[in-house]
Amino acid sequence: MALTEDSDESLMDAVKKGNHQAFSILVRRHTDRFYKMAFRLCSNAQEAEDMVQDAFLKIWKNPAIWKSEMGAKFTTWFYRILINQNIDRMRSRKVVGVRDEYLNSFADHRVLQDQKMTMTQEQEMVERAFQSLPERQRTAITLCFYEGLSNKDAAQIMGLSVKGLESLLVRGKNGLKEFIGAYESPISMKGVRDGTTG
Amino acid sequence: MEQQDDLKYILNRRSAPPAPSSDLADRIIHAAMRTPRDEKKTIWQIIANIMNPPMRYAVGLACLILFIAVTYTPQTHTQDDVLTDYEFTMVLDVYDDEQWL
Repeated sequence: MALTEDSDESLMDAVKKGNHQAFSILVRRHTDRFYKMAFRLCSNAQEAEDMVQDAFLKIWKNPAIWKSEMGAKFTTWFYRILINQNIDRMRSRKVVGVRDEYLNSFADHRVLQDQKMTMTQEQEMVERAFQSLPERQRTAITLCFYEGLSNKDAAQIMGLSVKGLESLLVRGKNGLKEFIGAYESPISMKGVRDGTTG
Repeated sequence: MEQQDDLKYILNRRSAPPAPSSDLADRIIHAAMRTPRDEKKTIWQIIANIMNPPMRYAVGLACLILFIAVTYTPQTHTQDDVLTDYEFTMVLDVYDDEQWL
């Protein structure tokens, strides 16, 4: 039976039994998606790749942490691992002034020059505003808005109540507005105030 | 809903993440191949390890046994059984005294 057709959860059960092919399929299926999520959290290409690699190696090395009987989706469960990786990364480095890293990451050889040029002042401002938020607010926003998870799923991943998550989202939004307002960026929340969003 | 629209308006203006390295998935898979897994040992595997220990454990155990053997050599007699010269002289004196009596 071809493993490529199997669900993530049954592949993960096979990984528990030491099936390397199942692990390879999982990695190829989800690397890009998890990389984007990791990049949204840390804003550094190299660190995002390291986070994804470490998370996958963690489940390969110790697959017993996957409890299929809990009924969780693999992707939801993996998000939690990535988030914990990000917390560990920040604790170990005692990150200060993370927001500047994003711009430095564009010196990465893999980022094309034209991509650097197309990063507008507006995008730069939003990126700086996002990176100025506390880690939990950034995680909540990333899960709900960039990954498209429901508030319930995001709250479960973060180990919060739905109300707690919503509180983080509101504070995150206010933080973004304050930051952008303080720097009087070109967007300057004009569209938001005028109600011309979207 | 309005709050979410505001937030979306801001966040949609954030630039998209750059693409990952094209070989990222391959690197992860190869790294996993080189990584040993933490598997639970059965009771038989534990017993087998004891019966056939790795060299460093075997050498360590041999050294420990040797140390115990050298340090705690059993004594063949106790101090109480041995008379000192002084005690032996005293015994002779008593014997002599008894002879005179």
